[in-house]
Amino acid sequence: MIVRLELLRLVRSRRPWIAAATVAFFLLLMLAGFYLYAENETGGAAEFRYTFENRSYFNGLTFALYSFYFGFLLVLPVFGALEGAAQIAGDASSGRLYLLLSRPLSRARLFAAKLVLSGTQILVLTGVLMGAGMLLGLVAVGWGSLDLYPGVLQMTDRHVHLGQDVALLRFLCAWPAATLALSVPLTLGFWISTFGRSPLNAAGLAVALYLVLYVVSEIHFFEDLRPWLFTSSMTFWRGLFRPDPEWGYLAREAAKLLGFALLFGTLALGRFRRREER
Amino acid sequence: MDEGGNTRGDALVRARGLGYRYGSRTALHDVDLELGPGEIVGLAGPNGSGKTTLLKLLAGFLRPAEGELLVLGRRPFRDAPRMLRDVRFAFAPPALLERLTAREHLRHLPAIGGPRPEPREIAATLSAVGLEERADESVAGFSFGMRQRLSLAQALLPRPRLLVLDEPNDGLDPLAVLELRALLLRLRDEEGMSVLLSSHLLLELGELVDRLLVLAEGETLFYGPPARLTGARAGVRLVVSDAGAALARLRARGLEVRAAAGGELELPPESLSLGEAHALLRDLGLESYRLHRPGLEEALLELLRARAGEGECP
Amino acid sequence: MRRGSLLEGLLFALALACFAYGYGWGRGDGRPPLPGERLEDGLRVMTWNVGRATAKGPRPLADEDLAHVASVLEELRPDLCFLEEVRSARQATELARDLGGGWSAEVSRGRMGRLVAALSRGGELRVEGRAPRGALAVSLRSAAGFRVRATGVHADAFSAERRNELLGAATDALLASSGDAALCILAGDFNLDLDLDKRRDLFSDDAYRDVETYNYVAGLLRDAARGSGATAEPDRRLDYVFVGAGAPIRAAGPLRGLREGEMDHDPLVVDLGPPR
Repeated sequence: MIVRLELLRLVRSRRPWIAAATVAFFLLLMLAGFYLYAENETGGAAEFRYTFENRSYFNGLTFALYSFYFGFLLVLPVFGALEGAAQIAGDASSGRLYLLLSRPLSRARLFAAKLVLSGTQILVLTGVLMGAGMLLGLVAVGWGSLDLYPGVLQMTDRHVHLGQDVALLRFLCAWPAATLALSVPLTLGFWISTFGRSPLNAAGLAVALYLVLYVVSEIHFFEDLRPWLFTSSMTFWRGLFRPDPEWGYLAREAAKLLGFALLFGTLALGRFRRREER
Repeated sequence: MDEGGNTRGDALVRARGLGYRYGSRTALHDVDLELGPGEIVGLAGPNGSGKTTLLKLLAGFLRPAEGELLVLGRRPFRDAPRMLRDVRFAFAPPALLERLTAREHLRHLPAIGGPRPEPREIAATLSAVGLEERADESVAGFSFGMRQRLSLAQALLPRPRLLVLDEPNDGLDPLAVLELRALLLRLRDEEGMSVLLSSHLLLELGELVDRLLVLAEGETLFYGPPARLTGARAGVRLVVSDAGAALARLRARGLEVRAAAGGELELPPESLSLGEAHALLRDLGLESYRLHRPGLEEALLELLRARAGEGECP
Repeated sequence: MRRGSLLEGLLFALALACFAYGYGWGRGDGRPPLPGERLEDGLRVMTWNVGRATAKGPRPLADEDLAHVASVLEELRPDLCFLEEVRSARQATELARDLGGGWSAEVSRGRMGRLVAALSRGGELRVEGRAPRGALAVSLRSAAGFRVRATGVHADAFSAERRNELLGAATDALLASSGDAALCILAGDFNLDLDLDKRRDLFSDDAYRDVETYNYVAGLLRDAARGSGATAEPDRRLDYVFVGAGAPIRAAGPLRGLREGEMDHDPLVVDLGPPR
């Protein structure tokens, strides 16, 4: 029943809708940028829907991949960290935690219900970013095969061609893979949320910590440290968009991320179960 | 119940030497409390006296720093989920789920760890707290008093053996206060429910509780039936024109007399009859004589002043 | 409370198991291990840009660094080593002499200070052709007895076009002249930074041209040290060893901590097994 109650609270709260609106706004910005870039590259001769042949080949699936990649880099993890940080600290600061904890409900079950629902929300948000990007790409640009070239996505060092059906399947696989990656900033947010009673402070700290780790994993000074940071593994799902994905590598990266999510989740649970509600 | 008003054996709440600290500040020290079936115990004291801390200890939100605490035979901090099957709490200020309606609160909250209440139970509870007309409105639009009522309502489903209320009278109009009193008495008399409630409305507590625990700065100031507190303060009050001279003369006669508030002199009720007082004090300018039986509020204030060193005999 | 602690313990153990699998022992992701002790039945190939990156600009191998380079070669004992930014043929000869008996050295044509030197143990090093300019083609017989054709290059640092020309020509020439050689090797400082672990723009005046260059070579030969990390400051993979099919790659990667002074490249070492 706690799951049903938390679901009702989540659906009636503004947070999921704000996140979805942000994603939608981001996609529209990407689309506008997409068109402008194509116009610039072709000197105004851009044509879409399967007719554009150039090493800068864009179609709706490429647009969806670009949008998803850049949205995944910062937009989604920030929402993940915010959602996690709002959970325990939010209820504690409003006094609603007293209301819930004065019911015959173990803290572990309450924690699990919140975690499951937050994780589901992130799964849905990730799906919205991907699905809406693909839909927008279909309507505004048109689908086709997915051709990748070396460039900003840094996904390949040679031309990669995936047929439309294969590409769609890879998008479907990338959805849960990306959600797994996002579960790490989510559980990190949960853990930070157990340290205080201010959701604002918890959210700020969770987001700041994620951004710092993200930046550190980009800097070559930290070459030895980078493999141990979860931010270095978060874009592992890009490996799905190769003709022959290295499944061993993908499995190992997924295991690392799962390990981090379990670690932060366990730390959060342990702290929440033992802390006093003053 | 013994002469001191204590219950034995089947106590729902048993606290011995209970203490708690917030960092270096002692919030509770050496507090005893017992509450048996069908009893209503009140909790009173000035702000910061430790009342809410005590309630949070009972709810299992805090771990006692010293002493022993058992609620329904369980240690609250360790065994809260099992203990809370038969204990309900309503804390102050009332924290509710803003985007849910009153009816949804009563539909979902009691179902956590318990059976889902029937619609007629929900309707009856809403009616009992006077919220039946606003049952399907979002709590976000509720006044403080309505929130108090809903907070109480959610604590009544399903029926607990022990109901713990933190300042339930706050924000209620006088009629609602009377209705709450009637409801709690009915719950005790008809359903055998035990109640522990804290309140600043000492008049209400006096009319309602079987025993009263008064805290000040985390320590027990009084624990027992309210009548014992007020009875100890009953006496004869004299108003005289020269209080100093009268005080000396009465003491010279071996009477226990003390200066009370407002320039009055107070003697124990049996010490002087009206006629004796009149004869004795005619030349001292006796202005009035009355039997004084202070209410709980006045008794408590005097208790606090005495603790602080005020109102002592000169 | 006890059940909760048990749950926490289980979750923590699961996390550790995930980490153990994810990080694994060694490199764990298909990359070969870093070279360690030299194996006698194979071939150890090395490339090292021994120039300096000073505040006044790049400088070729300094005479005072010769002893250090010799000590590194003595320690690593490669069968074949290409050194880039050698100042003169004299330096190559001195190195071979300092290393003791059995070492031979050859240098490419070109302007002083940008020479490619090849050093080999065993004394059977033979120059097979010095074109194109900036490349040095040699052949040798390995200690294990198989013939090797190898080309060392030092590509232009500033022009993707010139890199493309040199590397394409060197690859074509190597494959065309491989003949009866059991193994072909193309190694050196390519000045191409294509490590995909970075999420940054390529360090190049024409990134697409560099990618085409790399793809051309990688389409014909195997990048032995792919994914083994940066070989030069700042965090760039500029040095490569490409090998033909047939010889297993046992170990490959840059060896850190062997530079001295203002040197800005690490030696790249590849251990190959005997060709099948």
